Amino acid sequence: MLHGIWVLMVEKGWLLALLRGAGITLLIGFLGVVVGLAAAIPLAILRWRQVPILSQLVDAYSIVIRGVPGLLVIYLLFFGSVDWVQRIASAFGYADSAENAYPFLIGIIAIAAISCAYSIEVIRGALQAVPIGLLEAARSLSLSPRVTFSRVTLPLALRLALGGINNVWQMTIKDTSLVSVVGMQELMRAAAVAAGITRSPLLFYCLAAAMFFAMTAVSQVLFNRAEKHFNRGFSRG
Amino acid sequence: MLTKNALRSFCASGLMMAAAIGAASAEDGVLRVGTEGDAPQFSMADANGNVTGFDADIANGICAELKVKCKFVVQTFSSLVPSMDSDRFDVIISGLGITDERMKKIDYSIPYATTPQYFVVSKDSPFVGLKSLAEIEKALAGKTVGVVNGTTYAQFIKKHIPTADLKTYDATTQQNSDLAAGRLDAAFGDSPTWVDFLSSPEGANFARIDVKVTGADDHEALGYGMGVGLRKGNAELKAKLDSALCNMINNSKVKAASENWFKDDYTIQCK
Amino acid sequence: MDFSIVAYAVPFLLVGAKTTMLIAAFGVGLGLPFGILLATARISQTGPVRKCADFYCAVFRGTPMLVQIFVIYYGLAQIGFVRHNAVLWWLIGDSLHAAILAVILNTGAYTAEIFRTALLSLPRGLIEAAEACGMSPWVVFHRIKFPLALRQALPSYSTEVAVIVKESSLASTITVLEITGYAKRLMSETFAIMEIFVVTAAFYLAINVVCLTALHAIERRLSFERHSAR
Repeated sequence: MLHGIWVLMVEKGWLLALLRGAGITLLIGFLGVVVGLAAAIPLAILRWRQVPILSQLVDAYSIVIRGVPGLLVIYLLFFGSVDWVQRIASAFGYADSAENAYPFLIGIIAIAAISCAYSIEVIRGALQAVPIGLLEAARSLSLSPRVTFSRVTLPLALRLALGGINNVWQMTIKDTSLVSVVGMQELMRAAAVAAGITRSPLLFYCLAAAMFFAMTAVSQVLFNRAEKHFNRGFSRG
Repeated sequence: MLTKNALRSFCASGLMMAAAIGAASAEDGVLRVGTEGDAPQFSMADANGNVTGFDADIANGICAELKVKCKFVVQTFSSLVPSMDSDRFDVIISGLGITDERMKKIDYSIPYATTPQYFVVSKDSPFVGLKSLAEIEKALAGKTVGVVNGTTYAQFIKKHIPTADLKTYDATTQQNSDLAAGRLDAAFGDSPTWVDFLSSPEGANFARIDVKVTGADDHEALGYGMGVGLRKGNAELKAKLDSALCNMINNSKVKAASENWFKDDYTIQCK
Repeated sequence: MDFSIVAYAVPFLLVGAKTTMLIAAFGVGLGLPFGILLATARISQTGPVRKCADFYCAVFRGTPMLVQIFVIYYGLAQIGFVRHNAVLWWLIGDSLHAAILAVILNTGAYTAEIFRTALLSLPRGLIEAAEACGMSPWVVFHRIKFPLALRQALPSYSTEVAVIVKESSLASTITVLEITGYAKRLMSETFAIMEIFVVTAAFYLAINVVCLTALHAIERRLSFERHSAR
């Protein structure tokens, strides 16, 4: 039994395949969160300022993505995006690179599109939670609205958003497993192929679960440290 | 369509960012081959992404004829056709049946092989001794039948046993493990898949119903044999693939691959 | 938009919607009591009970639901004992049952987290007062702690209900034909991806609206304002 597992894992190289998949999972997850967050900040500001029309559009986007299963969003992007992604890419002279990086790109876009919707809510909530007194203080110092925003509101809001961003990250890491259903070679897909070929689903899916668990657990520890760091100078409670 | 636009513009900006991060430029002399990767005997990916099996032999044979390098892209069967459309690879070599329905979407090379299909049931099942397709159709009405999602077999069952409780799987191996676990009354697939499954320990209690189903039973649903799939309108590539396949058929390379993996010759002669 | 495809898709999706709602109903109906049970275990004074419950929640919250559903459906089916045990096989053998089980186990862990926070945030004084009145621990729990925690937890729990509806879509990966299962089949049949997506999304949003409206109604019933207005 143990020998059999050793043969599968090491001699046949499936453990390495799973670890490689885990690396891709982390990469997709990380890029997905970063791209999602980068897009979410301006969108959340639009929403927070209640810019007419645009703010409703952002709302509609966020409601649809958060209300619809991730699997569906991924099917849409993997199967339906094709023509226009190609068109846009070639219009900007990226036809070749887009073609080569396509699967990875769509994977990241799909994951970013989902994480972005959640990040919008987190950042909007944080912007609204910035204490009004601080803003009044800034105004009384006759700081311009722009300076107030960039120097007071945004930094404070990002600190407040940290917990929410951690939640988005944890959720995103788990969501990356969904891109496996369209054949992207991340951890879950590596486990599915291994399970199928070696006919040992229990072993490989449990192993995948353990690896996902390790990722989320380690990032939780790192986050707790980061939180301590960012909360320097703020009293608790 | 507000949401649609929002989604599109967002994704466009995401794409630009990601594309700008940089990606390798197109390589010359490489044929990118889309294949399933977990279909026993046809297309089996190992831990390093190398693919072996009948499909791999055909692909490597074609690449040798065309003097290019084969690069395999492994993904689920049902996503192969849409993904080729999105240019994830140049051709599909994955035991892909040529059907009228799919021909609306993609082009095909000449057919190079055809495999008979069988129903597989438990040895204790009352269906094991059925003698004709008509009997099977009647007996399996309302029963649970497994097929792989997006295959011609799925179309065939839908058309011929419309009352069956059809279970569709993303992978052949998932279908087989459900069959072995006793979740299916029957599964429908091609002979090579079954040769592999029935000879494995988990398939020991199963047998195929001795009724051979071929394309001739229903060309519309089952198609005209296996071909290499390619994007529409690439006449140059199609001509190259056709002549490469014809050479491989004539010098018995296809026959050798078929006998090696399937223990039988399923070649379709080149006209 | 091609409306003939929409018209073709809707009857299938309606059939799927029944299954989605069935899974979600079990997810709420059994997942909620299970989650509350886990929450009480997590604040229990007994070490091993608390540790086990903590570990369970950490594992189910720290891994993707897709992995959980695959372990349950494909993984456990590999074990001969499970296949030959009538009760276990009834649970795992049928894909719909397995999906419902996975949803209950998964939502239980998240629900436990919501209720644990709610239970811990209860004002100490109220509980001390109840104990001082000579209420037994069980009476304190079901007359004081639970109603207060429920009111506290309800807003977060309604988010969890929306999540349950969404997570039920993963049942499609183990052959259950709920909304997403039909949507995928329709997509690979018609190749009309955008049309199918829009209709399917509308189905999910409609279900969410119904669930959230119902929960808001319950929330209002339980809130202080309503009681004081009476």
